[in-house]
Amino acid sequence: MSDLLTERTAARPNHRQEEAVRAKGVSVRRKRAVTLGRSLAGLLTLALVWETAPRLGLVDAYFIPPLHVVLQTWWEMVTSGELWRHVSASLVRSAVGFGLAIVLAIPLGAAIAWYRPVREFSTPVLEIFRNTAALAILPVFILLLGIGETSKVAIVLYACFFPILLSTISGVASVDVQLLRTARVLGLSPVETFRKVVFPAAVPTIFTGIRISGAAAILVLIAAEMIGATAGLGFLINYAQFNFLIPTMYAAIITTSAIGVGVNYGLVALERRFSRWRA
Amino acid sequence: MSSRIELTRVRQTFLVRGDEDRALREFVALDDLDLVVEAGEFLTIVGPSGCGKSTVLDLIGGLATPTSGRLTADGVPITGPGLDRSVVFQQYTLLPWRTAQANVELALEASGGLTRRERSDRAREYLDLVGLSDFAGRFPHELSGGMKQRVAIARSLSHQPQVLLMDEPFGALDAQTRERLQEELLSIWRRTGTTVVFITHDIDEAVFLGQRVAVMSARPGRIQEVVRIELDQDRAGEEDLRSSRRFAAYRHHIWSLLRQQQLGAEQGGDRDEDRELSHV
Repeated sequence: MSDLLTERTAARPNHRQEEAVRAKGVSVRRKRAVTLGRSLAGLLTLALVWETAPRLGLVDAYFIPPLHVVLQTWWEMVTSGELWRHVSASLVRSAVGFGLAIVLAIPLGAAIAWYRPVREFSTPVLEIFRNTAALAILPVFILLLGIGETSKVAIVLYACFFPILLSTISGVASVDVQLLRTARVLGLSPVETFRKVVFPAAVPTIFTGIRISGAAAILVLIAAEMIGATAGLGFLINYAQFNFLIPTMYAAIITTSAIGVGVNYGLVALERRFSRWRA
Repeated sequence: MSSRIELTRVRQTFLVRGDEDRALREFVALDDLDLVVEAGEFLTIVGPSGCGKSTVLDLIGGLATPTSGRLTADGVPITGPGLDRSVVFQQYTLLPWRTAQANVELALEASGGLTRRERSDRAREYLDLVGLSDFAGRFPHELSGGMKQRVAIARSLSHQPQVLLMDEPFGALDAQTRERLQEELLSIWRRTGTTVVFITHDIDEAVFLGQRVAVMSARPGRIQEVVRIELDQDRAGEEDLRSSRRFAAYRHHIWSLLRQQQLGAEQGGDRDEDRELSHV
């Protein structure tokens, strides 16, 4: 016990180091405030340019209305419930596609990675699929599944599936050999080894795929809704543009961006939560 | 709480690709190796790198099967890993997403037959044994290298193996931490009475820890000589055992054995040397 105390004492930095750490701590906090300030300034600049450029006649105010007009329209759409109708339609589709992709891709990826021959057999095929833009095969989906909900969910599923699948494969396949040896020495059964060692080790890598998919889910869905749909943000953007409801179009676009940013932040936070031990 | 390990005419060969012709060739890692580890003994194995020390450990641990020869633990042939033999590796092999306590529990989850409560108690008991009870809730990245290795030792001991196999477990630690852990390991060994096979390339470590030191030669791997060490370990805490005359004599003896080997290899293995150079 006494030697533990010495270890802790020995591990303690000397005065100069401690001061340096303290000084750094202060500057870290200040740095964070400065960073935040600058980010806000950046956003504000964007808003300001959008507001003033049409007013000063630099761009046609009909095609790019000032920001406050767009925001006004946006608020009207929020209060009338119209926006929510489209947002919920889009969210449901992307959530279902995204969820299905997670549920299907993770077990499949784990199985592929666990059996080396299967992995080597399927990797090139999967690479081809992954690098085929989801939108390129949207016509195929519409052809096969019609223009209803199914084809839209399917396209989201397709877009989300491969990033998750491939990250699961690489995560499971690249588990530290030393950990596997330890599991063998400790007498863990193959199932236990997978559940207690391999899968937890792969979670951070899998999450990278999930994050990429989250962004893809919304991106692809908007495009799909533009082609054939009666509700959804993509439909709304396209419909507004056809009918020269320019502020409505921008309001829908802003909403899309906001959802994208929100989803991404949420997934990044989750990812951090799940890979805290990597610190 | 301890087993006798016996290796009889153990031979291990691997197929390796030659440097020049890319043809598969047989590489003899261990050649007719005989070794007996008595029950409850602390045996260290020292040898130059690449002499097959770790191969010996893998074989006893059941992580590899010999090309020919016989390995037994208490007369029973070793066919695979078993909970009667536990291994501590050089690299830290704790699961980084589990706390120290949960890492020790992992070993108990596999052996089965214990309730959650018993596992937790047992894990605490063994963390206490290695002096880490205050750090049970820490994650590996919050522990120093020495502490991580102590957790690994606690984990290996927690399922009460008959034999503890250690593959240069202190190799990555700084000198002071290493010496302290050596002393702690000896006291743990005295308390538990487990058979310990400890591999190292550090002569001092081998002499300090072992009741006997098996000196290995390389290419092919063989036991060159087994040196019995008689040092008054009980007084290790009071005086600097490592600077005693007897210690120095043992150290020098083993050093000379390894040196001889090296010279012999340089004379006899000129061709080998050339190939290595051209490869570099």
